[in-house]
Amino acid sequence: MFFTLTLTHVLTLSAVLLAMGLAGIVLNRRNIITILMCLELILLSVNINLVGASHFRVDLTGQIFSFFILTVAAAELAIGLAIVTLFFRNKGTVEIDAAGLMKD
Amino acid sequence: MTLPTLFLLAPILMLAVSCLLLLMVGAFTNNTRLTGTLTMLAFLLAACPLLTHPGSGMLFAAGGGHLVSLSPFTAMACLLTLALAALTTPLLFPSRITNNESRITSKPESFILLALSVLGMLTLIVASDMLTLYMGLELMSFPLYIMAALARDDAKSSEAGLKYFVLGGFASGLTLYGISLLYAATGTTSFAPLATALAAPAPILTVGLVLTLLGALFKLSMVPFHMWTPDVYEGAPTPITAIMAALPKIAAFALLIRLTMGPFLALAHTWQPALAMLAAISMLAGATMAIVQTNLKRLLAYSTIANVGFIATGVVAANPAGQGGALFYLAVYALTTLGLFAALLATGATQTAHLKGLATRSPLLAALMLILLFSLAGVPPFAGFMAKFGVFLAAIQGGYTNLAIVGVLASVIAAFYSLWLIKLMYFEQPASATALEIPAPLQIVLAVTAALSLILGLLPTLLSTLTLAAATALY
Repeated sequence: MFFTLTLTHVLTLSAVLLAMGLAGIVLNRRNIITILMCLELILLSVNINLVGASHFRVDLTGQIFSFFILTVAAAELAIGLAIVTLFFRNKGTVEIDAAGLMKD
Repeated sequence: MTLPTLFLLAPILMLAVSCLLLLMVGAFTNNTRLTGTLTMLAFLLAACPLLTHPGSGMLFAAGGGHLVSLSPFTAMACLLTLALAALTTPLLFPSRITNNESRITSKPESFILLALSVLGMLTLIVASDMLTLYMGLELMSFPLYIMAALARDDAKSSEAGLKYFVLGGFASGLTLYGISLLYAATGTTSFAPLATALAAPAPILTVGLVLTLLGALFKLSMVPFHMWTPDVYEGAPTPITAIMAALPKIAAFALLIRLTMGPFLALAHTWQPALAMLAAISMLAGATMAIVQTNLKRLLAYSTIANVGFIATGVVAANPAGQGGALFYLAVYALTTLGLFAALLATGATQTAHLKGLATRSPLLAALMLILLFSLAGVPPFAGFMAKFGVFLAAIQGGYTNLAIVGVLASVIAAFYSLWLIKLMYFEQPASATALEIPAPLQIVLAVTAALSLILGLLPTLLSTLTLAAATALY
């Protein structure tokens, strides 16, 4: 075995996923559905962190935590999609630029 | 765990059961008035054990600590949340004379969502593990996202819901990432073991700390996490905005105080200066931006941002007087905000110009608003003055004299828009001279909030001794 997986590798992977999620939300100027996907990506990076740390620390808390996150993420997405559906009904589009009714 | 220890959780368990029963009542009777009355009763009933047997202790051992911990501080924060939640329910009640906005929110589901959100707030307040914290935070937020988008045919409302959801999800994602970093570095998610593990500084811990606190700061709408506040406040139906402005702030501040006095106490040198800076910017930016607003709900949104800065001053002080003062300020702020939103609902005003000559249209409403606005401006002898005085004094005692000076300057700026609104009400001519009739549920809210703003100003010790005792119990 010339390559050993350590906690650092796991943390790096999750940091990359987090960066992708953040970039997707901040830089994305087109579609709201993409934003929802990026929110999920952030939560998945958290899960990788938790499960990885749980494995290397031989402690079950992280894995239990990740189950809670999976469940809550499902509820969150249900609410998110419902709100996007409402938004689409009122505006006829899911483009981010359409969300500009209120300004200072 | 024995049954008597479970009695400590009585308020939360009672409210959880009430939520399920309310869901049944709402679904089968579809009677808004009945569901609303029962919701209010559920809040008051859940507050009873806190009044008679406040109790303290730890429950559900897990991971070297406990999932839930109860102390006089959590009891006080829960009590304030429940009392104010009971006071918000009349805003959602149907009434004979009503405007469009009240009709949208006068549905059984509004009350059930409110009860669920309050359940989340209580969970958040008593959390003593990151897992409980996360569940509480999300249970508090999800119903609020739905409520913001409750006006289904209104494009502004769904836009407000969408913005609140996306930014809220973003903030809680970052908080979770911070929690996962803390877990990776220390191997625990429980507050008590975290407090010992964080005593040895490391960069990863600082990053984890900052990201974890971010969620609380977002819910508090402190600068620079305030961008959502004006838009969501403007777009959401007014009764919902009142709820969002008052209740989650108490829970989020209680969480911030628990975190800074618990797991993050050893890292005080990191968060204290940063929080002081954010508090100063929040109050200055909020107060200044409020002046230029013409939309009343946006004005109140910026007023919230300024007030959150004032309250955070007490948290930065990190002494019993500061945290007790913050609790007192939270109660006063929530009362004032609820009263003002009730007044907006009663007048149907959306723009500041709509308030012109209100004194001639309804002298009573104008007088009540006068009390609330004076309290918001921090004019003695109203409650807002005592609240500001308390946190500034605590900041000076805590060694943050500069922050107190910035606070006094910001409150002068913040007084400007309140006094300007009073000028519009009393010294301008109304566009129409028709007399205003105030719906009965709103009369209750207005009378209670205005009376308490006056009473707590004249006799602040009624509440401040209790909040000080609650904060002292943290040490």
